[in-house]
Amino acid sequence: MQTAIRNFSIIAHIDHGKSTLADRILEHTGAITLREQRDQILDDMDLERERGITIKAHAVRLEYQADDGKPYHLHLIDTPGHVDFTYEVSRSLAACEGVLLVVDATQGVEAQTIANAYLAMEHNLVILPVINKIDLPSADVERVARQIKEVLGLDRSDALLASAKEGIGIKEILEAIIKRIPPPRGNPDKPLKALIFDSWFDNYQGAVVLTRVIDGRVGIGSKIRLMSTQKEFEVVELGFLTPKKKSVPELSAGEVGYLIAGFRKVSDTKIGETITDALHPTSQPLPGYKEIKPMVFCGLYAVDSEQFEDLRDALEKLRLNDSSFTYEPETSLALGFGFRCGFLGLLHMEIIQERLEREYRLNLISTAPTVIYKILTNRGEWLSIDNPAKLPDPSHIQRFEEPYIRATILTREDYVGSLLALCQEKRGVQIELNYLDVDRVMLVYEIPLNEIIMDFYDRLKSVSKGYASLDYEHIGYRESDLVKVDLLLNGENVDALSFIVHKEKAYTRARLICEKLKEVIPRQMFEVAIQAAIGSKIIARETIGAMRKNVTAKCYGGDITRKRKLWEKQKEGKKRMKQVGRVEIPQEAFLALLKVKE
Amino acid sequence: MNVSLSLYLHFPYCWSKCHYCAFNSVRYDKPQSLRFLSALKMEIARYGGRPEVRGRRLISLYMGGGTPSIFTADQVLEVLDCGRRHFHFADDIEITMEANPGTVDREKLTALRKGGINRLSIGVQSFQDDELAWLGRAHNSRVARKAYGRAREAGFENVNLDFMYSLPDQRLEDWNRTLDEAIGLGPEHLSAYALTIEEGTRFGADYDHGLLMLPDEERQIRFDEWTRAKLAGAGYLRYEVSNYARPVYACRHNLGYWSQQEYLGLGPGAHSYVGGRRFSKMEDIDAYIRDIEKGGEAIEESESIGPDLAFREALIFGLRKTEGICFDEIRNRYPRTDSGRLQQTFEQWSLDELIVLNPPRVRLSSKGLCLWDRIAEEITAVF
Repeated sequence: MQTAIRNFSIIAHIDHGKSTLADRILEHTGAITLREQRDQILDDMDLERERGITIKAHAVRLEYQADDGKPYHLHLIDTPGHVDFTYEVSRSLAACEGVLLVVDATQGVEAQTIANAYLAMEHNLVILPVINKIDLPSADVERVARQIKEVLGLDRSDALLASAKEGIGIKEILEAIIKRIPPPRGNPDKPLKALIFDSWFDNYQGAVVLTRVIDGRVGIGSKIRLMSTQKEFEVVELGFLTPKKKSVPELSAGEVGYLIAGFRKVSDTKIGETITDALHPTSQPLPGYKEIKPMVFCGLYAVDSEQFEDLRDALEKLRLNDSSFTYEPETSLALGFGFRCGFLGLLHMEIIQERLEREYRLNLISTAPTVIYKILTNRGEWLSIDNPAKLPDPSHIQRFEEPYIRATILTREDYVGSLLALCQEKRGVQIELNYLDVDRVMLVYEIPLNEIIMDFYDRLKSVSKGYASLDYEHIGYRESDLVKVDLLLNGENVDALSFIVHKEKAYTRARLICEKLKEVIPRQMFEVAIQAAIGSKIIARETIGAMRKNVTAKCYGGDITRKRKLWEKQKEGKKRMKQVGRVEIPQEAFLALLKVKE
Repeated sequence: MNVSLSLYLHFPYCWSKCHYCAFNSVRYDKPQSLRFLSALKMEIARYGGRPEVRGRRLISLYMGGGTPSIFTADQVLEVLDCGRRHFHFADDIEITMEANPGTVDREKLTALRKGGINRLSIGVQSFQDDELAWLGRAHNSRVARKAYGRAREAGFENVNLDFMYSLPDQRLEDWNRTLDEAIGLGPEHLSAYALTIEEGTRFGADYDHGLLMLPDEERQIRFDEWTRAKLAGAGYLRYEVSNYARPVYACRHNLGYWSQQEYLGLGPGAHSYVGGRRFSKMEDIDAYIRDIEKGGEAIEESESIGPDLAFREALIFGLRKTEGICFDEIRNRYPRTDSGRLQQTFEQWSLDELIVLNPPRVRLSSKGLCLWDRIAEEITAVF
């Protein structure tokens, strides 16, 4: 009975209280008590450790007895909370009929509030604004309600007031979900059409997908087909997460649950994919499927070259669970054998690197992140360049293009000046500057992605003292006047330090990087020249003077062991550096590009 | 085993702790010091009979501290005689005792000289009173001069004076005045140590709190070079990083440390290198005494030096001497050595002007000597 089903997501700017609200809803519907919830999570973590899987409860089925006396099934679909994962968010929303848009009563509408609201509108979802944290002294409900009306164009009288932390307004929210979010309206008798919006890897069962059945039905033993790849599988298990797994024989139109069908890899089950029945297929897949492409790339190398195999194994294992990142072997003259890895964005890159270092105990060097540049060569072929070192000679380049994003920044009026300067510095082109409110301003800029992945987010937060928020979307490639800058140490080109930069900024950037390298590369017993060059033309230079004195005056009474241990400790330290020519380079040098401030 | 041996005896007492000092020493405590002396003698007797020592010619004996001269001449000589009874002293044995100004008078020095001590090392440190006070020394320059005079009167013909330089506010002219005066006195041997900051000392704490800063590198090197040139001009040759001597007066005991010479160190916290093992004695004086009295050896740490390590040490420590090492000798003594690689490393360093190649000898240049620790790190990393 689809009339008894409600499918919804909670969307919010980061830290506006999304998770707390989800917890309260789970508690209120009796899905679990707070205590059970804790136990449940612990159980799952043990399981996770035992079986090496990641438990996700990203689509929970809740039972709710509404005020109208009828029982309802609510499917709460979680969404990733970061701008890197916009596509995943959009697929989760495609599985819903409505959303709770949570806005912090003390902060008001932020960039991700707007981005998420627009995304929900694109999917024609019913939006229930929830003004959260109304219990806080600094809450300004009136102002936030006005923003919801003026900025988002939503009816302010629809706004629900809540304090998820204090459990205020939860029942009202649940009632509003029943009354205002429409039930699904699929046709259970049409051929199967189901959306994959999430998946993870289980060591025993392979990839497990979360799916929303749009039309038709799917049962255990059904033969299904994935429409983008035309691969076929047999369903072995179906069910709901409550949040515990509860298996059922069938899922039908309007329902949201998990599905296991002998998918060997997560990459078999791409997010946005349409599942249909292999015997009675639908003719049209669901709209909106996209092949996810990594946008940000970097080289990852084991500091200890003997860990190369370990790194490859770790990447392979991580990819089982996350098909959105890519890796392929690459060789650097400076760093040896490693991998060029692609990520959805900077956060995604950080998460993967951290997991590699923490969970797989690898000691890594990463090169500065880069975007994919497009090159039209004189011979008329297009090249995609994900590693600056691979750029062809400038004389072979006819046209150079770089990816742009459209950034939406929300800020307090006081910081507009510094933010405009920052966007300007980052080669941004202003598209909009709107007052949303007496003191809230929305800036829309088109900015090259390569400027964003440098230090844009940190700078944004620092110039606005944390009062600016950012969201962005990719808007394609544009021609640009770019050059490659090489870095040389004592005349040797260190390929892993090469970078691509806009011509006008090349000199400044080169000088700052030389200065930064001078800071981070330890002194050697000989002089080290750091040079930046475009082609054969040196555009910046710094010198690290030779170390001149380091000698123990006195070895007391033959205590030679103590000295020797110090040298051995130094030797361990050296192992953490890469030797390029005769120069020892610490890991941080390869990220110098990110650390310079213009 | 008829290889020669050196003996070090540690006397861990001082009147007061100097601000830079990280050596194993405590304030003089008479009752404990008496127990210490008997323990030390027991230890000497016990080791003298051991197979790895028995029959080996003792070529140097060094009494260091602390302040050995805090004890009476009789007390010191009893220890020395104990050594003589249990070890086989070479005819030309070098017997050094460290003395601090203010702890020695004419009678004591005369008795010590007569008792067989043939080399005296006086901890002068400076002839500038403000520097001495800053270092926390218990004496002033007048007392230091007097101590030197008394040593000569007592018949010491081989005297070393210890100095410290490269102090935070020291001007080169201050140091030069100390050097002038030292040269004027005419000792056979001079030790000149650039001040280093050690953990667990008063200076160490000051340094950590930013209250003390060493002169910058350029300045330190200027002091080093001045010292070397000045002393060379006065007939003192630098034979090791911090040590200078008139011809034939280089300290045999000191050179031994850098030449793979085996040495036995007795007394609390003393270090030994005997029979291919390095070991140290308990630093805590009470613990040391108790263990020795119980018939133990008061060993704190011990490790065996395999051929690879011995090779590395031969290289590193040998290079601390200005005469350097003999490449052929090292290659013969450690046949497993990757001598091609060694040659390559040396050639590179020669280009960097860190070493001087004079086949078959290799020595550090004065630039290289200033970087000895760094070179040791490299050798440790490569071999």
